[in-house]
Amino acid sequence: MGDQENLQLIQQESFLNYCFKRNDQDVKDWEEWLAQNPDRRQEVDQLRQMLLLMGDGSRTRTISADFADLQNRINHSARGLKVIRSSAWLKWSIAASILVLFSVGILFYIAQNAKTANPKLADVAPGGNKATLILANGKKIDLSGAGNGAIANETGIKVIKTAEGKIIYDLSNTTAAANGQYNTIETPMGGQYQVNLADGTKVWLNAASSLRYPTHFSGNERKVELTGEGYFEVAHQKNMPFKVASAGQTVEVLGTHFNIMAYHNEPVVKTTLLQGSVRISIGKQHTLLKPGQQAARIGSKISVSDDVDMEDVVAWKNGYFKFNESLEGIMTKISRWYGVEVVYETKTDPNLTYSGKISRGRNISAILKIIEFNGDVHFRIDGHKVYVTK
Amino acid sequence: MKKGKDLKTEWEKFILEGNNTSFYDIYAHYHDYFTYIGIKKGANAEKTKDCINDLFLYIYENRENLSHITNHHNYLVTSFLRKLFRREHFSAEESLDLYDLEEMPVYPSVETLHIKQHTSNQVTLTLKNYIDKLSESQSRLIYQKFYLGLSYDDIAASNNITVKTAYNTIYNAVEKLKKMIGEGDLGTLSIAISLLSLLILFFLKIYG
Repeated sequence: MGDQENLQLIQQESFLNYCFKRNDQDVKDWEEWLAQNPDRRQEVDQLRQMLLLMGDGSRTRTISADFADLQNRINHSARGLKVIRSSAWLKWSIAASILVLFSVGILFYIAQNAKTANPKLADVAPGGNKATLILANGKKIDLSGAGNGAIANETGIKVIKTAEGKIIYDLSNTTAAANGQYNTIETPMGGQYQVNLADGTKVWLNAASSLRYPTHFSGNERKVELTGEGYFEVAHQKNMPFKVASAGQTVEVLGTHFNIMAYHNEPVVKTTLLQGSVRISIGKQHTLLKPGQQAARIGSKISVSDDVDMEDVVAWKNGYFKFNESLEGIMTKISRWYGVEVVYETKTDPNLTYSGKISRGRNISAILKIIEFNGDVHFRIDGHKVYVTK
Repeated sequence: MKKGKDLKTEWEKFILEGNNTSFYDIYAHYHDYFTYIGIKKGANAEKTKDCINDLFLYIYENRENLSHITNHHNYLVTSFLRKLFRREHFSAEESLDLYDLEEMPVYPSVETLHIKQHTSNQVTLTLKNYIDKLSESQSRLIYQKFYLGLSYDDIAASNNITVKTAYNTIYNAVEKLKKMIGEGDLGTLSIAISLLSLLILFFLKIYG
């Protein structure tokens, strides 16, 4: 079915009524039409979702702009100046840039003793595609500031930045035979980034993480170093294993998909295998993982478990938080993604588990409100500190 | 979705404590409502926006004198319409007419909220970048069409453009985004949505 034909649906008010569920009759009519034209459903669903998101995004932009105008007028009005304190205004203008939409309920709670949540929280915007690239000569490039396209040339190897938070090492115009030089990519708190390495391996870096790798692989192994959390889709290369060194362990593979979480402030280093096979080595001790298994390591002790939800592990890479843990565990993840410090003013129960799923694109308040909904704790946000209170 | 009358707590917080977040919440809500009413009643879109800001500037500067107001919703609506139509008073019949305003269509729907929550970070960012790149007037038309749900006719009239221009401007924006989604790895949208329908049913059962 032609794109144009589908797009022209937006000329029909009845179709838009169906999209926005504004009129029961139109919803019914279009549902019937879709039932008769099932081949159109996927396109229509996608179009509908696009329209909803576009409407919402345009609203945010329009209201933010108009509110900024109003704020400007208040600032320049004689009366306004007396009342306004500048710090409050700064915070406020940040809040204004993002609309706080209240949420219906995204997390599934184990405990469901619903109480009314604290109606207002200050807010912190989510993280985004932010990272710094450190070249072999020590030069630092801020990837969120750099334009798209070729951003560096490392002895003939082009480093290309694409629009969607990704850099690619392009070997096509080089005969690089020499050993690659090392580059490092670092994400701050509230940052994430993707790197496509010279061998075609894809690496997603979570917040507060870093990856050190050669711009070009040669010799009999491909070796990189990770801190924090990364998801790897290793391009298969026979006779040239891929090795990830992190927090005292080495993970060795030929070609496979796996996730390593090795944050300094997490007690456990977790290596999770989604496809293929990997070998984890700590000194002379080796452990083999099968797909679906997770190795949890504390010090030099490794325990392997089979019943791990793969979706939980890679949720971050797919743009979600998926929780199934204690409040403290959740708050550690939140602090990394929103760049906030968590201050406990009350004791939390380590045995109480929260589970749920929410987009990482939401403001921090959306998540905190839902946790509050459970009734056990409350939150207060002050700048970049989140206080956990009774 | 909250109605204006549900914002009583926010109103009181702003009037009594000068709470800025509450002020913003009230502003955002009535921005939608007044833009909707203004355009529906045939007022110019630009003028509607100015009247909204005039009203909220007044409220901000005079909040100490507004503590006697018990029905904030009627107060805001009347003040807004006075400004919009440059009238000091309305006759009794006119007033009745005024309060008999249409409620806005329900939005954002439960579904929009869910789609937002289940849209991946990547898509959200791409979309935000895309919207930021639109011209301001283009983005306003999309807001009026896909958020406020106004008709092409109403939108054209209040923005002083032809229906054809209104339609084409919006069509082009959708087409461009569609292309971007087709090219990039945002093709997962439709998968997310079918999963959603299930989730929504689930939620309506629990919270409905």
